[in-house]
Amino acid sequence: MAQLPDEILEKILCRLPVKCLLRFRCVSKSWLALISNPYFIKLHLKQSVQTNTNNSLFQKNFDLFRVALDSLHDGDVLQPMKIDSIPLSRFRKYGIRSGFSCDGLLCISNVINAHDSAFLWSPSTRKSIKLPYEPTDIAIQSGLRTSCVYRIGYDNINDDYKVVRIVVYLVVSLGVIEYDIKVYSLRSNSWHRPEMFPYCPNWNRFGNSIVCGSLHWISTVKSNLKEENLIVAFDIGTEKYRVLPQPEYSGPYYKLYLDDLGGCLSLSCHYESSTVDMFLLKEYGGKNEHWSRLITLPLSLSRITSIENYYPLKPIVYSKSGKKVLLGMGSRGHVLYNLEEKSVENIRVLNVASLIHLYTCLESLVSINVPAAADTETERSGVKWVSDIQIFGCNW
Amino acid sequence: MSSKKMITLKSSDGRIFEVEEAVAQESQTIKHMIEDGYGNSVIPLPNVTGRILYKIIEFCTKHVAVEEDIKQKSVEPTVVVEDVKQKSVEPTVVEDVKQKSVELPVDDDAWDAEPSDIDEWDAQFIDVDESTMFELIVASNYLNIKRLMDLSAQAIADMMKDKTVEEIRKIFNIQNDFTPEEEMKIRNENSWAYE
Repeated sequence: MAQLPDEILEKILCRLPVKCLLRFRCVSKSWLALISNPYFIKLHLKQSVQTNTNNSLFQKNFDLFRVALDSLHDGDVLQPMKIDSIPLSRFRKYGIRSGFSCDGLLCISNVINAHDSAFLWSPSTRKSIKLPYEPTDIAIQSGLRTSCVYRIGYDNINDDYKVVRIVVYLVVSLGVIEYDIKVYSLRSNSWHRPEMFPYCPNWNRFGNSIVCGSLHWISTVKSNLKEENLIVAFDIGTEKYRVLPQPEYSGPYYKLYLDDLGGCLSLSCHYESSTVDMFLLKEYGGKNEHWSRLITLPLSLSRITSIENYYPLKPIVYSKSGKKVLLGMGSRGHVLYNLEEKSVENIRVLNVASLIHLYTCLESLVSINVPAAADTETERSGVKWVSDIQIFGCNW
Repeated sequence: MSSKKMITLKSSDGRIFEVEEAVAQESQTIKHMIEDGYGNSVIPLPNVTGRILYKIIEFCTKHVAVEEDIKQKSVEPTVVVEDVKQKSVEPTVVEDVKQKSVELPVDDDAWDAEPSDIDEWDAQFIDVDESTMFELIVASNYLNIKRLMDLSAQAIADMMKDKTVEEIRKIFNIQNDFTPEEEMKIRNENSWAYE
C-alpha cells in the first residue's frame, strides 16, 4: 500500500489525543517532523477546540484529576481520574494556585509569595518551565497584604504565549492602594512592564482567564458622589486597555464576578435581593457588542451562594450538546443548569468525595521550549526544566 | 426526476458511472470541472478506482438525498450488465463492454438496513477494512468531499488510538529510519506515553 501524503496524514493525526501523538513521534523521521511542526500543533489545537473531545476538567482538592468532557454528555455523572504520575512536591505544603489555562498550558504559582515564582506547565505533554524571577515595583513589607494573580493567554498578533502578573497591594485599614502589572513573553522568555490602567483592579475580581485575547477585571472608582464599577479589558496583544459596557442589571447588586464560558466573557451578578444573573458578552469588540442574560438563578438556590463571598457562581463549561451548563457553586459543589428548561440538575461525581475548583484545560501539543534564562536566583528547586510533573496540590 | 442533468464519470480502470449533477457536485473538484464547462463530456478520474468511486457515489447520493429530505430505500447503484440484480435507479453504472463481471464490495444486508440517523448510516458506511478506508480518504481528498474526508479521517484516527508504534509502521507501510539509539532517545523524552 502506498504511503499517505503528509497533507492527508495531518488531517488524520490532528484527531488523535496528545498521548498517542507523543508515542508516534518515533514511528519515523518524517512523522517526527510532522508532529513537531508548529503548523501541525496549531491544527491539532484547532481540532481540539472544535470537537471538544480533548478538553479535560481538572479538579483541585489536594490532588489533580482529569475528567473527560465526553462524560458530561447530558448525563449527570462525572468520573474524574486521578493523575497518578504526579509525584509529591516540596511545594505541596504551600499549596498551589493555578492561573487557569490557555491552549493546554497552565500557569501555576505558590499561594504564599506568589509573586516570587511561577511555572508554566503543560499537563498533556508533561513538560514545565519556571518563569524567570521578576521583582515587584513596591517592596513587600509586613502590614502590607498583597494579592498576586497570574493569567496566561495567547497573543495572536505576535504568535506568542504571554503571562500577565498583577500584584495588588492592600493596606487593610485603608483599602486597596496600588497595583503592579507585568507581562511575560514565552518567545523572549522575559518580563516587561506595559502601560498601566489608571484605576486599581479590585481584590479578587479578576476574570478567570484571558478571553477574546484580553484579561478582564473590575476596577471600582470611588468619588464623593458615588462608586462606579468599571469592567476593564487589557488586550494582551496590543497591551492596551478598554472599558467595556455594563449589562442591564435588574436591580442593585453587591458583587460582580468575571469568568468565561465557551470563549465568551461572563459576568455573574449577585443582587442584593439574593438572585444571581449570569451574562455573556456577545460580539466582542464589534459594533454590536452587548451583554446577553444566560442564566437567572432564583432565590432558593442563590441564597446559599450569597453567603459565600469567596465562591461566586462560576460557569465552567457547556455540555456536549450545548444545552446545559456546568456551574460551580462553591462548597455546594457543582450542578448542571438546563438552559432550555431553566432548571438546575444535580450532578453525581464518582470516585471522589467532592469537587471544588474545576476548570477546563485543553489537550494540546503546544510546546514551552525556551532557551535557558539568565536566572541568578538561587532557588532551592533550582530547576529550569522539569521533565515530569513536580507540582501538584491545591489550596485556594 | 428523469429531467435532472446527469454527469458521466470514468474511473481509473475504465468503469463508467452516470450520476445526477447534484450528487457529482458533492465533490468540489468535480463541481469546478462542471463550472469550467467539462460537464457535458465524460469526466475522467484517473486517481480513483471503480470500486472506490462506486462507494463514494453511494455516499454522496445518500447525503444529497438526506439534504433534500427524500427518503430512499436503498442507494445501490444499478449496473447494466447481466448477472447483477437491479435494486434502485440511482446512480446508474453503464458497464464498459470489455468488463463482464462486477464486484460489489458490500453485503446485501447493508442495502436493506435503513438507519434513521445519518450518523449511524455514516458509521456503517465507514465500517470497512483498513485498506478501503485509506483508499477512501485519498480519493475523497482528491475529489474534495469534506464530509467524507472528515468521516474517514476520524475512522482511521479511531483505529490508530490503541496501536503500538510497530503496528502503526506496519499499517502505514513505513520504514523505521531511526537508529536504535535515536529511537530510544525519542521514546525517553516521553516515556510515560508508552505505558
